[in-house]
Amino acid sequence: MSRTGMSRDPLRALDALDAPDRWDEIMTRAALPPAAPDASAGAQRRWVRRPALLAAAAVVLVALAGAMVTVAIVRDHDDGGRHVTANRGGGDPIHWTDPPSAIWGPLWSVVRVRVDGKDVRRPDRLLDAQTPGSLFFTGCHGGGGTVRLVGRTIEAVGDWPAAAVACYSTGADPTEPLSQTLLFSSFLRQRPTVQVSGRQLRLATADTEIRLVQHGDRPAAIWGRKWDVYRIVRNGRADVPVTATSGGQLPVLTAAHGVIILNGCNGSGGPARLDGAEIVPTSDWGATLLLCAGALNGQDLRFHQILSARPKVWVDGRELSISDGSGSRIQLREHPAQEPVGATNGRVRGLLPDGTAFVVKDSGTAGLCLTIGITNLGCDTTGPTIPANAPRTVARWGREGQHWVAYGFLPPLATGVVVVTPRGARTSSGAVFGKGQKHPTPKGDQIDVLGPSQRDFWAIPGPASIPSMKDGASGYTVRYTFPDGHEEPAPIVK
Amino acid sequence: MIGPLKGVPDAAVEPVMAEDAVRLLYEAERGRLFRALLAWTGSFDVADEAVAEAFAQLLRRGDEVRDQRAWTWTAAFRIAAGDLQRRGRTGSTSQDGVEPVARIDRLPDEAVDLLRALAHLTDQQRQCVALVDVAGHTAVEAAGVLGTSPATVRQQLMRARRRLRILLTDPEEIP
Repeated sequence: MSRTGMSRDPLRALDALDAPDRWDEIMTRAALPPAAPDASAGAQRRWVRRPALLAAAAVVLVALAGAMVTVAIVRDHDDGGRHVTANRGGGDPIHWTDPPSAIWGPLWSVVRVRVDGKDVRRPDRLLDAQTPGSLFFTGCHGGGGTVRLVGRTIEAVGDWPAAAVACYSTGADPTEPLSQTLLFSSFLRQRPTVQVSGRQLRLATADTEIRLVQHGDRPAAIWGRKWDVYRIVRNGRADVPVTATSGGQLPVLTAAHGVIILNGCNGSGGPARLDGAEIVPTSDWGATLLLCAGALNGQDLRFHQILSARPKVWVDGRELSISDGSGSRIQLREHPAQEPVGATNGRVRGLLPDGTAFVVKDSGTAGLCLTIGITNLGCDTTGPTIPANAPRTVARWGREGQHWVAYGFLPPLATGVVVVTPRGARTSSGAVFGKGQKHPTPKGDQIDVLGPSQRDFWAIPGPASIPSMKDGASGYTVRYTFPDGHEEPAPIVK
Repeated sequence: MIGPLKGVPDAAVEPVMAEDAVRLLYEAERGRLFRALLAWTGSFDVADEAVAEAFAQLLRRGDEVRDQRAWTWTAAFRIAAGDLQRRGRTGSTSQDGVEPVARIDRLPDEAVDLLRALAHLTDQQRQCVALVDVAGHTAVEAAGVLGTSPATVRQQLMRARRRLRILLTDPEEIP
């Protein structure tokens, strides 16, 4: 289709724009009675199922009845012990029937802020209430601290750090009005009242109202999936490293319908259902907590304690959090359904234990190149440089954040490779092999890593608990295996 | 003691709920819908609000909507029309129809030029350009959204493109 006849189509000038994600607010709106006329009704008859036409007509009438209402202005009253928020223009009132303590557990997403009855620009902000007794607005200018609930009122406990001005001066978010910054910093200290109804939360002071909805998916999204543990949080603060099994396997939680089991070295869990966001056992659970030693056993015991404490789950896409209500939390990511591991065209692809993809490529002139996730870590001659006179079979280690990959060329006649931990545990889990490319003849025999021939190369996802990059110093070694059963250690770059 | 996960189905997948289907539709359509509404209305606020309200109304209707995608596009355009009418009554839009706020200034020059040029088309021409040229709908689909005939859409498009060609190649033409 010829649009304007110009060489560069100016009608595509908006293509780079995207709409802000307002899904949480949409969910809230859908749950609330319509505050504005249903402008769409009546115009889409052909798109509506015929049995529903009568209902659609009723919606139109209801919408017309509310035509004078443009913005839902709320007023509160107590209705026989229940707290009620009603729309001035009519519609079903919201019954805030849940106890104030229902605030604890989820992350809450801010969907509306009103000051003196007027909407202010809605910030993309979360209220972290995952640890009872602690409330934080996320973000540079968020703030929060220790609180206690007195009836329906939030009361601040002790002093909270005030970083609003410093944060603003750094220009971290120069578009955010300072007044809004101060609003969030001080709001929680102004004894706001708490109202909860299902996935909705309302916090209000005399002049300010903040509406929030539970952030993330419905808890039922946990079912039918496998989840890998990647973080353990204790007392709401400290991250405890996740210990992998000797095979490099991270603990996996399986949530089939009606059964939740977390398998580390041991297994824990059993038949369960969800009561709201709570995991509730439906019969006795057991655990094999005597079969593993040391850190693994301690970790599995912690999992068992958390799972047995009727923890709350929070799901957001591929992220899952299981919180026991006393500051301990397990963070998990969805287990990759299909592992894109393989070797094609001079490159091997694999997955790290947390599901992050990596690619090792034999580039020919620059040696082996590594990419982890979206980060290009460079090649032998650029990036994690290998000395020009290093043997070709040297084991390379690449790191991005907590992610590791060991990789290198196989020695002639070698058929396999294994990573050995300082305690002697061996893993070749996730190893992938590929064929290298024909290389140009090197100048002299010093550039061994770029030597000629079509060679095999390999990559192994790093064990999850490698503490430092210093190969050798950390005690991790790479060994090549040969058909006759003997092994040779891979050379180490000093 | 718990043994291996015998009998636990690996691929037990919960049926897709109506809400999930709307979420998927939202992820797939919100960008295109927003751009089309922005092209028509010239207002970030109107476009953003219409997208959100259309999907909220779709969620309220559950599975009574047969063609959710078509319904949402039509609803969003009608919601935006209502919003524009209200703003027109309260004088909250600028004279040339382009939002006079800082957000416009943060757009690429070509996008600003396009919005300013579109503001000089008729309302119906702008709707057709937004749906066909910006959002990539066919004339038949655009006619469905606007409640008119494909022939009318094609005719309006022809006139709009002719006018845009002049406006975009010779900015002096823009008053």
